[in-house]
Amino acid sequence: MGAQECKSVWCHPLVSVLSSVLRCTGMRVLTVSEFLGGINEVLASVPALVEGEVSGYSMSQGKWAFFSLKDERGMVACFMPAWKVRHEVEDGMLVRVAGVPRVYEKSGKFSITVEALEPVGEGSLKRAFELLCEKLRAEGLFDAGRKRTLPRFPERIGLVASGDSAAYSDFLRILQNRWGGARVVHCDVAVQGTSAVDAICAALHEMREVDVVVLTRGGGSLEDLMAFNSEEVARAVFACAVPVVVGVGHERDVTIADLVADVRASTPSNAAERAVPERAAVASELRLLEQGMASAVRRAVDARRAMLDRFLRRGVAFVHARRMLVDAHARTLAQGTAVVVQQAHQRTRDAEHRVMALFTARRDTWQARVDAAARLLVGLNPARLLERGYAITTSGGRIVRDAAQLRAGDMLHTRFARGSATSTVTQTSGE
Amino acid sequence: MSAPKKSQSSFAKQFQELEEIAAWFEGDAVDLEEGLTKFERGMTLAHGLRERLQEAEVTIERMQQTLPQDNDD
Repeated sequence: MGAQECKSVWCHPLVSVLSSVLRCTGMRVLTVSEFLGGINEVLASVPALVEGEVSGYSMSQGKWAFFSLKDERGMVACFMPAWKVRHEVEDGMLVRVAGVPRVYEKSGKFSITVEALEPVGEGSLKRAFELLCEKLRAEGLFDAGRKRTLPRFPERIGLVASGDSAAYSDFLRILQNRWGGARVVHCDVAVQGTSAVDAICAALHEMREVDVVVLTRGGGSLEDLMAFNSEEVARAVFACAVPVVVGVGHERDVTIADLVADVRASTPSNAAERAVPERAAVASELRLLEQGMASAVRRAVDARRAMLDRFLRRGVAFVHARRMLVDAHARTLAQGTAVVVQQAHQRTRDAEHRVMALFTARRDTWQARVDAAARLLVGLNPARLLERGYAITTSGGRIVRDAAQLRAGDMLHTRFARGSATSTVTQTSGE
Repeated sequence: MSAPKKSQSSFAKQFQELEEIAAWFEGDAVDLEEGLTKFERGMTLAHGLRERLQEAEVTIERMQQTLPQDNDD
């Protein structure tokens, strides 16, 4: 039967026509390889940009990803190097691929060699996001235990953001309000588009001589935020040499970069709030510290004063007690002394009495003697002698008893029983 | 450029020193003589730190991005 078919083909009128064409045009019959080579050359000049649903996704030896793209009516095979797959992919996901169509020589199978793939539509992006989250969570990139603490007073702040963005100006405005004098090292990067992932990764890698890095951008659609949901950026944040604050989008947006960050800020402004302290709060804390120290010093002074007071009170009590003791001794002593003094007084009085008795007896004797002498003296009174005719002559106030006391010319005063006379010596004689 | 870095750096250090002094004062028995020395140092630190808080301007230094931004690779 095969022989019959074969015979019928060769007898086909078209073969006769081709033979005639070949003879007339000089064309030759190609080998399969030559034919496929020609086809692939033609295909290479029409790069494919195809959107479809992923089917039969598999990874071979970690090097090649194989899958098909399909829609309701058709299907095309695809393969791509694993390292170019930047998103988590699974069957049913709507993706867009860019690549080169090609017929694989060995199998003759037609496929697209994919250069780039990205999920399309919210559903696929969310699914890719979920898959990457699961993978990175399993690796420990989101672990709370690896989150680093931010320095309280950062000296230099690395800022990875687009210089034209509102996020950039919002961040700087809040930073300036809170912590003027801060130093910002800004790396201007694209935060969306094809170059965003590599730019952000390079910036995070280069941020070394800073205390903290802030990665920020404003809000956007899930597609706009795609760079912040990429595995590369997630790993770059994780590997950054210093703690990273990520503030992307609005408060409701959560990206994978947020989950890996050491500190997640809800917005660019919030990133500034998380990165630096507020000066009013620090000033208030300084006041508290000062007050704490002042009251401690006051307490110490009071304690010292109380100690001195106690010491003083003890001293006073001690002195008082001693005084009481001394007083008691003194009283005892005084009582003892009084007895002694009384005895002494008694003895003195006795002695006085004896002396007085003795003195009285002696006085009486002396009185008798004095009376006798007085009586004798009455007889010797000069006035009585003068009455009897004697006179008393004095010269120069002295009684003249010897004429030899006198010189011629001396004045003499002679007292008589009644009156006196003054005379002058004219001559003296020895008899 | 290095002067503000130094002052900033010393801010964190000085604040820490101040906190340590304040913590010392929270201890039970504060020796008056040592306390007065520490109090004086603490007040000097607080004064310097408060002066730093008066600074207003943020300094911005541009870091050159080594990667071409319009590169599709």
